[in-house]
Amino acid sequence: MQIGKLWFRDLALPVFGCCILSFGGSVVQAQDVAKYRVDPSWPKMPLPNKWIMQGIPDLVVDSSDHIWVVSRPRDVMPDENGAASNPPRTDCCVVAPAILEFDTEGNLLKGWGGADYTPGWPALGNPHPGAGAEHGIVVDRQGNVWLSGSSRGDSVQKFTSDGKFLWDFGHRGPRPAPGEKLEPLKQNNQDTDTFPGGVFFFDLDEDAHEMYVVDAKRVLVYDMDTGAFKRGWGGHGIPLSEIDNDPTPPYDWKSGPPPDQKQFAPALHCVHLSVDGLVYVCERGSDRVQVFTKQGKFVTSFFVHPSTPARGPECGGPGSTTYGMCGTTYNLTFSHDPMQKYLLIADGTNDKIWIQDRKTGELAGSIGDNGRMAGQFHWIDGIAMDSKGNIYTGEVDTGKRIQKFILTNGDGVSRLHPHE
Amino acid sequence: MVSILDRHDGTLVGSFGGNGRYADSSTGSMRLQWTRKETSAQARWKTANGFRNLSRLTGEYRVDQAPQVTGSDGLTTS
Repeated sequence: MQIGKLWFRDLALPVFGCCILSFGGSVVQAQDVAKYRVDPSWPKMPLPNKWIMQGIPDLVVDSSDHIWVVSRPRDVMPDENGAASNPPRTDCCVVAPAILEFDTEGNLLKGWGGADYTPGWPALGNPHPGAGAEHGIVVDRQGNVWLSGSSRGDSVQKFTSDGKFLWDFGHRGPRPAPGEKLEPLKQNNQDTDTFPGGVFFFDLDEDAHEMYVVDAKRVLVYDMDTGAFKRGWGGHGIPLSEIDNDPTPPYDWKSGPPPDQKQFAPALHCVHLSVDGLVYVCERGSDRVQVFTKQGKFVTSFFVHPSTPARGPECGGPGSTTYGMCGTTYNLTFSHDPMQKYLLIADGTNDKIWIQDRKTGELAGSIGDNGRMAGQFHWIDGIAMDSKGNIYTGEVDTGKRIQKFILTNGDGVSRLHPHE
Repeated sequence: MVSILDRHDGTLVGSFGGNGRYADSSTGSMRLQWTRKETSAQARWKTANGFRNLSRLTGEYRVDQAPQVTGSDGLTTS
């Protein structure tokens, strides 16, 4: 196995779906490697209308290889939207809409959405919701855009690709009144009717017409057409009735990886379905990925850089001057080979993409590091891959950008199937 | 933003850049030519993505109206 950085921001790793060659009776493992290089000219700048992107918590690639980006408009700071005032205070900029569609060349094709776009739009009426705003995005085979919100009173809404409202998932908790002082939410992992804190992450199983939601310490499955609850489970596949509603205890991160435990350790920060029908859950509170069948039977789990603190008192949030963030599993995508051999895991604490074998969890390589230059990351939060194997990433906090990493496969040319 | 001013009279002749975090591969804008007699070499600014062709150095130091197209910032670019 060859792993190594070739040059600036390049990564080499075993090519996805590597082939076996036979010569004179001997079996040779082909050692072609996949290589990635950041594309500093993607997306194309400047955006129209003096638009500026904001925090990017999630992005996806649709069936036409278009990249759909969630940009949280209310992350904007006064020094970023001076052109929005009348008269303009500065030459640039105006905050971009919440939903942006790009092509693989970096052209902006479409933009719509933002605060109060619909009566159920995320964080309705809150001018500064921070991370509790627009969050998860999925684009289905028909091209409809599904968007979740992660504030109290939020849910999932479905739109056409042009932004026409189609459907609301419901299951909303109460929305606080403006200025209302809020008490911390208490977990109720047995309640499948409402999501008091909104919905952060979800995915669709379009063949089964099901929506998967991760919330608190559980995975819940709903009918994606009617919103009716179907089934759910907790960490290691335990039934909903056995999930506790207590805070997850801290651990001493300096003495080793997070302790194994039956219960999920929030935050659960992604859910995705693989081609072979498995459910992958980012368990950020344990630096871990847990894998299940669609019926909730536990399959396996593996750590992702577990020397990183995953939870506890030494975890800082946005703007913290004391501690950095915690947890290593912010989101993931599957490699584009037919068997999805690898997971590419966005780690916003180490600011890397970890590439691990999807079956064994074995580390195959990494991309990026903490920084502001092309190919580096500040709080990488979103990751997606197109059909040619190119990687797209999104950053939150003050990162506020998307990047593209081109699969060069050694000769600078992207291919539909890099192993061919 | 980088503004380009005439050193003697302060006339704004162009600008490039803007608020953001990206390498901007668009052409920098300059609405007036910067020329001098002894060379016709082009002045170029190299960014991470390539070259910016802002002006031609073709004559003595004087400001001429150049063949223009409108740039994205409302100025014009040659």
